[in-house]
Amino acid sequence: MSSESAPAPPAEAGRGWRGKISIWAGAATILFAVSVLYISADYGLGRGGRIGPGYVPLVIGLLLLALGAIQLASAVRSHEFVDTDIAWRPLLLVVGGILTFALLLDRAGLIVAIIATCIVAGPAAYGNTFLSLLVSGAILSAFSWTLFVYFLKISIPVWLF
Amino acid sequence: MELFGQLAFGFEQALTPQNLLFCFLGALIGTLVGVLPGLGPVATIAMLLPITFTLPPVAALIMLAGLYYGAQYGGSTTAILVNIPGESSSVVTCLDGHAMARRGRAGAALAIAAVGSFFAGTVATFIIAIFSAPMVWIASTFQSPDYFGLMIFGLIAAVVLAQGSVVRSIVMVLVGLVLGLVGTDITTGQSRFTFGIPQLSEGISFVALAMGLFGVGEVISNLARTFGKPEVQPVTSLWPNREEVRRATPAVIRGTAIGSLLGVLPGGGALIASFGAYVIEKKWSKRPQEFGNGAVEGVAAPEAANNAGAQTSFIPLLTLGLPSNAVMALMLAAMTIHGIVPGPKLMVERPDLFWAMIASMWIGNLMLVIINLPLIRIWVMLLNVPYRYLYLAILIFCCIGAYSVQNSTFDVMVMAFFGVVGYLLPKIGCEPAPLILGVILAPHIEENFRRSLVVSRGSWWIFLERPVCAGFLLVSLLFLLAVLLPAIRRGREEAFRE
Repeated sequence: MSSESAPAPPAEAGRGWRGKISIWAGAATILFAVSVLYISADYGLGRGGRIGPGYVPLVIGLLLLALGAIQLASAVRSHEFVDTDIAWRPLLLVVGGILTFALLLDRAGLIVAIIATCIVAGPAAYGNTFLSLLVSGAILSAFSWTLFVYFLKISIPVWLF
Repeated sequence: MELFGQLAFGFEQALTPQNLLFCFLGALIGTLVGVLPGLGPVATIAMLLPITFTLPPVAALIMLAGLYYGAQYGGSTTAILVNIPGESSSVVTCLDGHAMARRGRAGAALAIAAVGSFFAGTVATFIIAIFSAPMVWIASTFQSPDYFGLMIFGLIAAVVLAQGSVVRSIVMVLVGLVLGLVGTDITTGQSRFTFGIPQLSEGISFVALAMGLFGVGEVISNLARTFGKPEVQPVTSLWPNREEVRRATPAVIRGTAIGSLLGVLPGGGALIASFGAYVIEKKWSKRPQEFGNGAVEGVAAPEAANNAGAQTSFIPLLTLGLPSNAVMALMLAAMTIHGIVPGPKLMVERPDLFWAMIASMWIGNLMLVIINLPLIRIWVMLLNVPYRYLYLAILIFCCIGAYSVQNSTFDVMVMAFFGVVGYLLPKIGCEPAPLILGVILAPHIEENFRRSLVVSRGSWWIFLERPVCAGFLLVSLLFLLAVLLPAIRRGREEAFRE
């Protein structure tokens, strides 16, 4: 609240209490704590000296709940703001590349998976062209095969068709 | 004298051709990791873990240890010549090291950093050898409640000494503890937090988690930035002049002492050692105005300290089984994969491994001085590899690494998930390093907690009745109170700002 009473410069117009780190981190903590408590509710707390599988999750969940509340309460005095500048393009393409690898490895083998990953994740960086990614993929798959399959003999499907 | 006998035994083990080769490889890869910005030791050790499966444990651990202290050498090279800290522990070296390079003293700065690191590495090797035996002796009297207290103390101290908000770091530790509990409970067979996914019944793959948080997360945030073409300062003569040697020598000794001490503490390691050494050097100097403009002490002390800290942080791991930072958490994972349990019994049951690791640290340091100074030009050339090629290689190796631990593509997806988490957490002011300590310690903490309560029939008083445990918990509480009190908190924030 206190930060709203101060006249904010135009560049920080979107940085009211909604952008405070304490609010976001506090809310995330409480959400996580509630999920932990909810999921572990029927794990059993044990009896006497024999603690059950739900005992430690309960303790951790309660601690997290308290810490989440502390963070929310401290938001009044805090002046740290969330970094909202999320690099969507690298984030989505890199994750997409890794998922491509995971999906193709068991179906098409290492070589295809590596080249496909390069082509999916490559546009995350500026300056990569389709041709350069194809070459990168070829070099990386040759190198990976030599290192992991030929020398280290890691069991991994190389070529499935 | 027994010490020298044991060290000699260690050298005998470490000097076999195979172990020498892997020591060399570790140091070499470590230097490479240190030189390349955007690739840290945590992600690299995670990537290399699967490779070490096929090696004998001694060779594997020698290589991974070499990687950590090797990264400290490499990081200083780019810090001095290009003003890019290849490693976070070389951030302070940029200040004075690069200023020296601009004045044409790049060669001298590099030589001082390398020789200072070597001196620190030598001292740290002896410190590990000397202090391990008493630590093991103390630890062998510990019982479950004491271990519980020790681990809580380790986590709290790690949080307090690390950068960033204490409350949020504790939250990260607790989140890590929950993630570490995922899977089948050993005692009762109950599956916890698995959401019915069979691949989670043996827990979240630690390698996939670490690579996601530190490897993939870092790749995404690096791609969001743009890297300019590095401007490399020319390397002239490698010989420092008489004045520089006179000023560097005591600074190296002070840096070694501070680094060794800060390395042993939970939460310590190379990073905090280099910052601590720089701050103290500047405070005690008769010429504080020279710091930032190329003060020799500002290069010598932190460089000695980060290398000493990198090595002494192995003491709590090897003697107590307590990892003090994220790199040590990965070393613990590596040992577990090879069926080795670090802790007081390691020295007795596997003296060959214990002393070979320690001896290899000195050998590795010697190799690093030899491979680094003449090869500096080649290392700097590596900086010209554009990141748009480099990150693809990092991604592919992470994918193969995550897969090969259990031949599971599910683990690759787990890595992708934690990559997103690792990228987003810093946006809301949370650091992923405490989380990883929580994950690796969770099963141990629960086990010791459970055993303690069996002894006490469910009463928490047992943790206060055992003096050792009560001591650990009391110190943890004092640590927490200290950082939460406003006056001291301001001082801590100032210390980190420098």
